[in-house]
Amino acid sequence: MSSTTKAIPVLKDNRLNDINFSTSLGGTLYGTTPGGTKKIYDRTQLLNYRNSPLSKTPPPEISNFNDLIKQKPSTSNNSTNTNSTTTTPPTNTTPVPKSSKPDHDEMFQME
Amino acid sequence: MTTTTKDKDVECLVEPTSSLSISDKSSENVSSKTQQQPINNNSNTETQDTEDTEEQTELNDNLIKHPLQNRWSLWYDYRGGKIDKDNWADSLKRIISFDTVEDFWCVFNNLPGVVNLKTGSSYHLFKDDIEPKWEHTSNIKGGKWVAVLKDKSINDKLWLQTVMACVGETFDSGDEICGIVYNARSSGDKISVWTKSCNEKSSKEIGFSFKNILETHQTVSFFSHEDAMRSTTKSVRSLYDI
Repeated sequence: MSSTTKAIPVLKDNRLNDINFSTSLGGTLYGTTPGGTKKIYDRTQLLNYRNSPLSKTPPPEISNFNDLIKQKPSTSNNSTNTNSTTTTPPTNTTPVPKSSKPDHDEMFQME
Repeated sequence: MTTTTKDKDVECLVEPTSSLSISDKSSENVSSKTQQQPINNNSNTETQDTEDTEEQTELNDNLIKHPLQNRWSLWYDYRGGKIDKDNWADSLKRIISFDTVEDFWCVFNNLPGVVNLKTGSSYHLFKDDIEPKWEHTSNIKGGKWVAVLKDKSINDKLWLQTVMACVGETFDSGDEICGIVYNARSSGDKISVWTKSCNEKSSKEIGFSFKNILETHQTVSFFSHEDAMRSTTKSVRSLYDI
């Protein structure tokens, strides 16, 4: 049936830079060990998927958890907050989850 | 000259099958069309479909979730005041499980960072079938590598790097790993990697991997759970230090 078949994804030019040994040409498959059994993603690959539309929605469990944490009254909370929130750190090392696009190269330099 | 004949040979080999597949396809199309026609009276939609195919493939490419090797569960506990071995498990809660890269990000893009954790609380990220307790069968013979974090400004980064190494399976001897723990403690925040055994070779492989992930030269220490369980005092002697 024509409605259930789909064309095989074709390599786009801008993807050439992203090619490494653990991705398929279409970039949609995942790395495997020589035995072909283990799904491996290095940091760069994982970070590539971080801003996918599918990676954004907070699951209800996490929203509930956030509420739970906020609800818990704690006297020490205020004091620790004032201690820890020093103005922006000199180096841009802490990942900011919700910000637009993390600077991969600076954050995670690969050896 | 020889090359052209070779080409022809190849062409001859290829052509019959390719033409066969083409004829197959067209007959299939015809049959599918005739089947569809009674149901789908509007033929315009079908032509539209084929026009959109290319766009759709690109879109679908973005909408594929990438499976992880393992399913992981995130747990949280908060020990207010006294640390009590008996009631500790009561506060331990499983928050969520995930088994794809995208679902992993849905969790970690929206989870409060470890810097915001209250002193006395912990995150545990464990393989789905393993509970983050010493007594669990996968843990009972194992131990943990512990790294005390020195620079608070990079705690979130180091935790995320450890998390990514786990779910992405880039740890050496990763099969020996049960899970990882982040403790927010007044004595200094800690990241631990829990292992299935105390076997020296695999444990040390994990330990060296751990140091690479943390990009640190500081010593990390391995403690067996058995020693920790037996001990009545807080100080437990480490089994390995690297």
